[in-house]
Amino acid sequence: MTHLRAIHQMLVNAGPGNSISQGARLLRDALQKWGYRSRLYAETVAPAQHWREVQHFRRYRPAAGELLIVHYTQASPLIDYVAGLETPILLVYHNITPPHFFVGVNPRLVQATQDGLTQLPALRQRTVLALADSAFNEHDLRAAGYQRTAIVPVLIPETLQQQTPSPQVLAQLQSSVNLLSVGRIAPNKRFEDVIKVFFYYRQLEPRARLFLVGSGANTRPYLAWLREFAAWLGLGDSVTFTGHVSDAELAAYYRRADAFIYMSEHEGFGIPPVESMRFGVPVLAYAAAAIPETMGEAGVLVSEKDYPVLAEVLHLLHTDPELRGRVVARQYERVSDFSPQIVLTRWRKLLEQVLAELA
Amino acid sequence: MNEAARIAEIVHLYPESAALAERIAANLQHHHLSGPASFPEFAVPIPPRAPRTLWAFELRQAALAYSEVWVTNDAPPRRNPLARLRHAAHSLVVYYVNRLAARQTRFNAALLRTLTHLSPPPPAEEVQALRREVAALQERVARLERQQEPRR
Repeated sequence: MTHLRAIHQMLVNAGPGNSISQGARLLRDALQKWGYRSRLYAETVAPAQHWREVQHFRRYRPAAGELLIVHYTQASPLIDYVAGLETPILLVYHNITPPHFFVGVNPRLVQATQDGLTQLPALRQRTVLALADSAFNEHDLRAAGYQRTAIVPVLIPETLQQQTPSPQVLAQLQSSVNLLSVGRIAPNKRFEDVIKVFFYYRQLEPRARLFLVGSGANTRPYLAWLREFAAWLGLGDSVTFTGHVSDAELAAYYRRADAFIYMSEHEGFGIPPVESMRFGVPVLAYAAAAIPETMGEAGVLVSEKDYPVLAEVLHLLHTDPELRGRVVARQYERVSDFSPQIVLTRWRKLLEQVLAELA
Repeated sequence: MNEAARIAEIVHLYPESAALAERIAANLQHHHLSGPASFPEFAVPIPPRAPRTLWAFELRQAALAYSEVWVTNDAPPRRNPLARLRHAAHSLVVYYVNRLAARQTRFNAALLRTLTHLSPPPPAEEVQALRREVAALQERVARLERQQEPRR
């Protein structure tokens, strides 16, 4: 097909809990199967044993007949390094949260996101194709001056569904009605709105509990405020902030969830709603940013946050098994569009186009 | 517009939004859910430049600066062992200063939110002027989007 022999990937952070690097690993395996040499390079690598195959980006030695897939998630010396190479680039943009969300929360994140937006055009000259996870992200790419763009959904491995759920978490969630929201505890995710919905829902279902699953390590002022807010509403122990969880624990939360709530106001794709759809958990999501694209015609989308109305939606989803069944069936249909096989087919088609042009 | 029609406009469940909205409206009437008139917000609002009063000016300045108490260690790490040691020591100081800064920021934010709640509403004519400005901006954005569409 072409004289290109190797397609390597560069990503800022690599580790087992990082969804972008999980997808990159899946893509690397596919590239190797398609006959290319393919390696992963990163700036920071988690110490977990099975990630030993990821190398530091400065160890990359460019050679003729190579293409670099660069996953753009934040500003990094890796981007500067790649910008200085001659190797053609296929950029994959995974979105950057606007800096204003982190003001008063974490100045390093304000700076990092600001730098991320500033650095985005840096690879423009040598990028042969810029990919976005969604049309929402594609808009950012075009604003940054990338002319040739295309959309490919995030590659999300189906390993979480095969994971044995944590028995401790399963037992903990056995006798309650469980509402779930998953994601980094960051202000753009609007976890306070999830708590507001839950506040009304508890009036309909006193056995209900809310689990907010995600790390707040870099956003402590926001996390502290959320705890105070839940206490102010008198929700006490019914709201649990789990912090970072293992895959086994996450699988257990999804397995036992009665509904998934997503009130995020800035999302470049939305992996947790996809995971929820895969687990057969009905999704109630706010139709902002890329979420309507991700959900398609599945789940329940709301264009306005009327909290009593949202609580009533959850109540109906819980008390009407037929309605719930229809919602979950449509979700399964939708989520098949994100199966790794389908996304990899799209990748292959795009790569063939790019490589034909480079040849 | 009746309640069910209003709900059908905000709750989207393909292909049964209207039926779902009817049920939600009926349940809302039956359940009488209650809650506070308004909820606290995490974000510190930045007041607009208008109204042109002393308190509004100062509140805006405070809202723009409340989180600027953090410090950074901008000096790049060097190879010289002594310089590296100094850099590490400086980073440690920065870490502890920023722990205090985080607490101060939290206090500043709470104080500003309280002052915002207590501040008098802007005069009606200024509200009207701001509404007109928003409408004009919305129209401009819509026009620019329409202009961009054919190029995509």
